[in-house]
Amino acid sequence: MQKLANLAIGTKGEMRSISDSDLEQKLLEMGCTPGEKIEIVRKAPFGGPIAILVSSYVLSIRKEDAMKIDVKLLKDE
Amino acid sequence: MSKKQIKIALAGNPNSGKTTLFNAFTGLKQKVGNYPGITVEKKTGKSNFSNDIVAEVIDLPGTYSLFPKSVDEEVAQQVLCNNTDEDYPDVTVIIADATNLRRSLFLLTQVIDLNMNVVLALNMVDIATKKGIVVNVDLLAEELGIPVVAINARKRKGIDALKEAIVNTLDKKPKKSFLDVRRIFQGVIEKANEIRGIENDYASFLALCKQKLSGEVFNRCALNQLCKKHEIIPERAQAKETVKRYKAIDKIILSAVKKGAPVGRYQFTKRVDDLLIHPFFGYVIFLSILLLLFQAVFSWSAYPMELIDSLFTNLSIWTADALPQGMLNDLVVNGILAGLGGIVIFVPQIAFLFAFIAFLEDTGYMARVSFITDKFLRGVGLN
Repeated sequence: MQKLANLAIGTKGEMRSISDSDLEQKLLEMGCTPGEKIEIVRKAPFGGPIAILVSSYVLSIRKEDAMKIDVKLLKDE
Repeated sequence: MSKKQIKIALAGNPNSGKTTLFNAFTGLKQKVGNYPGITVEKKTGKSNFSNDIVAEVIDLPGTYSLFPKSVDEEVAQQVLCNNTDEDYPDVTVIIADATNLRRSLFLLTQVIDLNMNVVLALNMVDIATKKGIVVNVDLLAEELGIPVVAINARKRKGIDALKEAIVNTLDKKPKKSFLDVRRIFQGVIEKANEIRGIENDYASFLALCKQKLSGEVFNRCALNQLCKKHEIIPERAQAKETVKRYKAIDKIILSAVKKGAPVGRYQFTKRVDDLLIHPFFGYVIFLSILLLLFQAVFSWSAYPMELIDSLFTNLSIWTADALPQGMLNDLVVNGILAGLGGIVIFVPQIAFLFAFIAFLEDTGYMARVSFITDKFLRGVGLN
């Protein structure tokens, strides 16, 4: 298990849990449900937001929010 | 002959094309922007549907769900959840971005569960095709139990078919709910219905989750007690329901949506993005554009400004000579003409500024800039 904020660009993973109730609900309704596959596509410089690919769209998440998200790493096939 | 009046609400995710469809329906020109949150209040307009039906179309602010997180999302929730609301629609049209169908179906199925007449307008099918996404419209309609119409709001294609589908759903109620909250929270929803005095499972569920539907203030205590008795924590219940809803949606997506490899243009977009939000060149480009904007507003607009200035000066001189001396002369020359000139002279500057901003918004550059500047702007409260 890894924090989303610590992953490098190109890393693929699966959503696990979100440790903030409001953030969890917000991300859940946007489709970041547990088990959903994600990929880190971009990271803004100077500790800015992180862009992830989730169910075919790109979602930007602030770094402090990304610290609250647990991701299970997937090995490349 | 008086026409039959119906009410149509347009709802959907932010940036899915609601206002573009609204403009196609009504012939009005509401501001459309290539980023979320342009429509903050509901807007209404009239549209002729057939020879004897005229529709009042309500454009609702974009929302991802019926659990609002902001004031504009609340507007959408209030209209859709209260059948006593003056804008409560006869038919709700959910506009879905075909490239983001999974996320769009979340709001759609919530609205179906509110027991409303729903039509799904599938927008941006052309872009989806380019991204290699193929949606089986007939299968989707069958699985959801509602009419689904593929449209292109920007090119105004499929609008007539959509109108027809809307007229055909009038006075029909959806056959079944999409997700049965009664089964997930056994023995609770019926009681919540009783407390609220309204037979609407999903609205009662929303009320249980502490959503502020109108009139809920009176029932709040009773609903809280009901939660306590059945050991329901509203936030957990809401999360549980969301996950279950997505599970059901994923089944539909799996059968109705096929994904292939993206073609051409999509790769191009990615390369442009690589440059626009590059850790170094991204800022260089942004600063260059800002400089260009200042240059345009202050230097380029100087020429038309001089022209306007000399035009008004000449006009004043001519008028001062042409009119007889006196109060009227003074009023026209030093009052009306001078005042008007003082305003008109700024038109070129404002035009340049707005043209620039409109261009940056429409190309989607603003969204890229906010990605690389979020960190700094937040520091000064400008995000």
